[in-house]
Amino acid sequence: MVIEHEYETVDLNINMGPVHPATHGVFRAVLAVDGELVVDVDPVIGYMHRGGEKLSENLDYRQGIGIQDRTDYLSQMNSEQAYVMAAEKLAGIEPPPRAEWIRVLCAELNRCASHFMFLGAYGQDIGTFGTAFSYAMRERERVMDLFEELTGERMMYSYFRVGGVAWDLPAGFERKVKTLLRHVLQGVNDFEGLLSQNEVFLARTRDIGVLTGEQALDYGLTGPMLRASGVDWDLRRDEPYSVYPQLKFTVPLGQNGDCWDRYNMRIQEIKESVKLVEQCLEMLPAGPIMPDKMPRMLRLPVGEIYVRTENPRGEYGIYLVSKGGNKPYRLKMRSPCFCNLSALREMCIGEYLSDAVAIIGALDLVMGEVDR
Amino acid sequence: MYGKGIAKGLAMTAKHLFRKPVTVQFPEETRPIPARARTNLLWFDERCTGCSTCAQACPDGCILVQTAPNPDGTLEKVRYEIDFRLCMYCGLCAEACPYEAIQVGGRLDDAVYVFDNMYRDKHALTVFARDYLANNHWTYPNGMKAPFGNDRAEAVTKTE
Repeated sequence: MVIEHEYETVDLNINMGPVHPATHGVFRAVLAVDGELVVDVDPVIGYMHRGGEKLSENLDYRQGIGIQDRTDYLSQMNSEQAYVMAAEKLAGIEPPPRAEWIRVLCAELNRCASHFMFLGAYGQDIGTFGTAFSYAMRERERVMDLFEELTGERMMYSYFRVGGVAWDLPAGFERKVKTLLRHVLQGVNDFEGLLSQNEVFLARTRDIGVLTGEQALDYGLTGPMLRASGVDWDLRRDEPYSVYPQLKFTVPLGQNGDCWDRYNMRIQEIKESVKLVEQCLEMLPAGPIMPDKMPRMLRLPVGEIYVRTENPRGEYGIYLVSKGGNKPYRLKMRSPCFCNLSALREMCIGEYLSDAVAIIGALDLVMGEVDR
Repeated sequence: MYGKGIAKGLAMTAKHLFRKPVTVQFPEETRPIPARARTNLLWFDERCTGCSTCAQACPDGCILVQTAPNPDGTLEKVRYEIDFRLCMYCGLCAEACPYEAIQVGGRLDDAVYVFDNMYRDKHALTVFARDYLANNHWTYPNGMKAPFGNDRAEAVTKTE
């Protein structure tokens, strides 16, 4: 965009470099600013490329689950679910019902943990200097402690397997989940009191980075970014997988498509996830967690499949090409953050420099997923 | 009224003054670690047969097994090394081992000053394993009793 001035000005290129406290990972944005107004944004990614897709070609279907954990390191259970569902659909394996319910329970709890991470980091970007972050981490630590009891690890779970899950729930798990849900709801209330109606927060996020529903669809956004712009699309309801057809939940929608709506989406989604987990606990059936006749080394038939799940950040897809054998021939991960990032230019141009930070924060970037 | 949201936020932080803090004062207190926690790997020489199923299961290729045949048909483990610089504590080796010779449950405070010292050969692994057994009533992490628990075994730990 060109701005007319009465005097000579020079555009300044500001490098919001890969090492920056507000870019949520190693993300470089070269901002061309005119005064303080952003005129152009050039995002540079690839600092965290680890060759996950190539590595997956050398790992069989049990070892490759670790790669899925580490690609999107905040929503591990959801990514594992996509990978495991892809292998199961291709092989024609039906996981037993108890495993499906446990998977959804873990996925929804992981959604809560991931959204808490967003809330803490976003509050810190906006300027709450650690208050929001410590409240968020307190609740997130509780979820991670619960997962440590279930799977053995606090973050990189490697819990799902093709055909089911690895271990059954430990004794007393339901009681611990119920206590956790109480704490989670209290944590969300803390956030709503602290940030949602705060005038400073509203001034920094209302009407910033507005995207209309049509623009959001054009750029291929998914997840809370799309729903904040008013488009009613949620894969859990519209293309349900696993046991989601039997669960009742509402999908929150935003009105304006600004950063406040994106923040609010995630707050409401935490509340919906709590309801989903309660339903899962009630309807969890007894039974085995793996099918009876699972081969020691799984070999998939020849074929290809695309499976998508609703990650906390959007639509995570796994495109699996198998040429027989126990390793994939090609594994492509469609990462939601990479596609959400394509709208950055549209959102940032015309905003001030400090608003660019708020917009990048509202995208909920996880660079491990963008670069794989 | 302008400022109501800020006042509400301040009230929220004030409420936290009267809540119990969740901080664990390390190192005086330690966080309780659950029974299933996937901590460090422990390799038990007396149970291992050298089949190298663990090496095949490892996603990173951390485990090196080199064996030589014994006259009575068993395998002598010439080299058994785990590269803890690469290990990501996924536990797939422990899941794969048919004899439960490699198990999770070791201590995680094994930091070293020289990075290459994290590459442990079978002698270093055995020191760790015997150390664990000596501190845990000669019971393996999976609950079985070790075939030691006598003076000879404790003497072995002291000399290494």
